[in-house]
Amino acid sequence: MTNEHIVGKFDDELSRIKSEILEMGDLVIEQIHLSTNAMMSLDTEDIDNLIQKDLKINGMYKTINRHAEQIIAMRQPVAIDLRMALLATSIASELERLGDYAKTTAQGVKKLSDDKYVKKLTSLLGDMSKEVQDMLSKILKAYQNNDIKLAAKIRKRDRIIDASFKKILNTVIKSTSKIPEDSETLIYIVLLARNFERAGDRIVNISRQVHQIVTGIDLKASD
Amino acid sequence: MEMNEDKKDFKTNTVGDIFSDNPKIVSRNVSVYYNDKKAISDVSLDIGSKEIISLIGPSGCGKSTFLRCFNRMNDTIDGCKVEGKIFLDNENIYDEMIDVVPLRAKVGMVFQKPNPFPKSIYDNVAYGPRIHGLVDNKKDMDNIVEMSLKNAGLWDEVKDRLDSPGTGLSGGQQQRLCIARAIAVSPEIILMDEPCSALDPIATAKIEELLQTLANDYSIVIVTHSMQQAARVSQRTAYFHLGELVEVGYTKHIFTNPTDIKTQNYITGRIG
Ligand SMILES: Nc1ncnc2c1ncn2[C@@H]1O[C@H](COP(=O)(O)OP(=O)(O)O)[C@@H](O)[C@H]1O
Ligand SMILES: [Mg+2]
Repeated sequence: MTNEHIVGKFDDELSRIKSEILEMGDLVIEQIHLSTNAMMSLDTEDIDNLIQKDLKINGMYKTINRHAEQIIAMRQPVAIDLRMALLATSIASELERLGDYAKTTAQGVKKLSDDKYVKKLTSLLGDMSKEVQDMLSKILKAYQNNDIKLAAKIRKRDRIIDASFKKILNTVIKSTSKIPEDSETLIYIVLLARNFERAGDRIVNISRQVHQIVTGIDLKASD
Repeated sequence: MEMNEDKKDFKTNTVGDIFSDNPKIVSRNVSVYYNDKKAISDVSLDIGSKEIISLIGPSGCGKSTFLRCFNRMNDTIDGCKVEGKIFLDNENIYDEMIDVVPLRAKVGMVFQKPNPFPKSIYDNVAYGPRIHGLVDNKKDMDNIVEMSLKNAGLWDEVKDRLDSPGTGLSGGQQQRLCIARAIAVSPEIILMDEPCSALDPIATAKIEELLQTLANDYSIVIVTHSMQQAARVSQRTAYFHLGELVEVGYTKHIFTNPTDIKTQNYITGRIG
């Protein structure tokens, strides 16, 4: 899409920040994957490890911010270069929050039970999570390749996530009257569903940021 | 007069808006040759009233050549031929009837290397008003010298030594002296050809700050090698490449999201 810089080291710094985002993104996907597995299998063995790993994600976020700051201070980037540095910090911030959702999912496992009803709901959450993981992995591809067409496709998929959230919410509303003694679990399930729904929104944000890096255009909320 | 041309009908290869709502200078299809070699080709651009516009582009792309068209400095170069039309306040400055002496008072110029005359600070500033016969008594001249030095932001630094040689000042002070010399003859336009390239960052900042004040009274066209300087001081930026005006637009547009790929490559320091 763009030519190389006369100063080769500038290219190195911009590609470093890109690899850091991609690495951070892969780790977030892994975290979502593992915490969802724990939720579905009610396996609490890995949870401390998952919570620990979130600290690593937070650290990566700080590193990316620091490297972006250095590029801006020392290279005075303009136009697309400035957007690459500036929006890297926005994307990293979305990824950091996605990491938090994975952590919350892991922390919630202890509150779940193997009740038939709960199982049915967590399996719906599992579907949501799969969709989120796939969207996230594709949006990282779009970011890697400056692919605004792929980014636009991902934005459309947010509807699927929203629909799943509504379905879980409706199911829970119906079941509260049936199993009132388990209301804490149900509230937790709604919270997790809400997190996955928010995860979809954050991926949409990343998709818009990819569009802005490439085109310079800040999309309206409707696009 | 062609200045009342219909903008929609005017064709140009330049990307962006070459027009100004309130033009001071209108140039149309300007080409300049040095003997048989074409240095700039078919450049059309308005310079707005009291705007600062910067001309950027790689060395040899024709920025200085274009700048020198506005006060007919190219006339002084052997073998140099200018084609096309340039209007200043609706008047074709390449008309046979035009006298270049008052033209050059109206269109002042500041060069890359500060070039004060080997005279006193006072006489450097008084030189122009004297040869143009603007004043006939000492008191008026004193006033012009004081006002010009004040407007050039130099008065406080030199008011106690107006008789010492201009060449004894620091580089940045010399450049401000040259600006004072240019504004002493009440120009309407100031052309600056890389005015800060021989100055340190502090002296540069002082000139840049001064430019903002000067823009209240003059139109300023500045050629600069420093893209950051263009970004800092000008409202509009024009990008030249190989003798052509590739793109012109608001500086904030040019430095955030230029339309032409050649402009983007240049401002981001990419191999074009
Ligand atoms: N006095 C001159 N005689 C012959 N060629 C010249 C003269 N001045 C400039 N040129 C040529 O015209 C082209 C544009 O030069 P110039 O306007 O000085 O570019 P810039 O100011 O963008 O560096 C260059 O190819 C340069 O060699
Ligand atoms: Mg030059």
